[in-house]
Amino acid sequence: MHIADGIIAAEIAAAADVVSVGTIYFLGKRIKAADIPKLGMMAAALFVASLIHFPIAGTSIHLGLFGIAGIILGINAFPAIFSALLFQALIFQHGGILSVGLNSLNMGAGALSAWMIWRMKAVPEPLRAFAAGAMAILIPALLMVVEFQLSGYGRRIFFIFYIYALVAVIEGALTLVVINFFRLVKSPILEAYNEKH
Amino acid sequence: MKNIRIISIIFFLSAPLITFCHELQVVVDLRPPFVVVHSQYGDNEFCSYADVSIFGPESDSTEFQIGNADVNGNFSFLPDRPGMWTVKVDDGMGHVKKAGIEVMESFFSDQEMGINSSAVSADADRSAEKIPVYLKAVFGLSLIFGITGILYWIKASRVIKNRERSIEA
Repeated sequence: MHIADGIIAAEIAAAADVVSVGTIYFLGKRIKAADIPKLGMMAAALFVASLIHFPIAGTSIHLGLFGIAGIILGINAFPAIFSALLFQALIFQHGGILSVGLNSLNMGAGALSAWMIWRMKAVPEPLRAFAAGAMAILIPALLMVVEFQLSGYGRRIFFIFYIYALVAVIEGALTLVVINFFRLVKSPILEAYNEKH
Repeated sequence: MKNIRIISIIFFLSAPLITFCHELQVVVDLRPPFVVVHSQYGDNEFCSYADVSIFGPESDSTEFQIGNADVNGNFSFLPDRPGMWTVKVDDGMGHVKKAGIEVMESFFSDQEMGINSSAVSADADRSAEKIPVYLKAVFGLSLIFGITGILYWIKASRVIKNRERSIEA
């Protein structure tokens, strides 16, 4: 899901970087000091998640945790995703330096969709958790496929979507397990952001 | 105080550049008359059926050869002249890697004599790949926690200052 440098036109990648940095600046001014440790913990989790790989159909895919990030941090998940992707690009060369902004916007959209699904209180919580985790992968995958097609790059749409549909199921199940764990230990982490917004 | 914060942030952001490493790795074996390109991911999984493009020396736009790696991520070609060749491996999923291959005059004399050259890596920064993944992960985590600490310090000190001002007022 990490788009490397040179695939998308440099102008588009640079524009996405500007939008991402602007969004982080805007969100950064609103973030309260008490929320920063949670943001750091989530960024660390997102950073490490990319190391858990699954070899599928001749390619290598990994966990994202964007659904959990969206549920816990809401729109503040974006700076956490950006910093995790930046360090993944710098340390593991996972994705590209110039395309960090574009990757952040793609995956940030996934986290945002997870947060919106999580706020649908009428839907049973286990279903919400699974859907949030799965959609947080499918939305960025959809955006990535569209960007690939517009750039005339990549394998067939159905192949890429088949790969990420499998990841979405794994992520949905993982999100469900994590949410159940938070409920089991009566963690206030799930309500903390939603109560404020 | 402000300068120390700026220096701390620059230090933390510049440190990862020292340990640059590869997600999609390309390793090249020179086996006269063939050059064998092997592509794999950072977790040693083969990059199967990847699109491979070979560019000859001083030829950036026209490919010398194009094709796909096999199921084990291997691809081979026969260079026809010495110089710096370029290989581009693309898995079609967003992972792309370019590497230079130095083909010496001796490669062709080895070919005539039927002697195999020793394995040579195409990556200039291959030494960085020897750093274990867990060490890089720990390094990244320490950076993230370090930056989080700095940001928390900046935000918290502002809150304290504002409180002090309001008490004074």
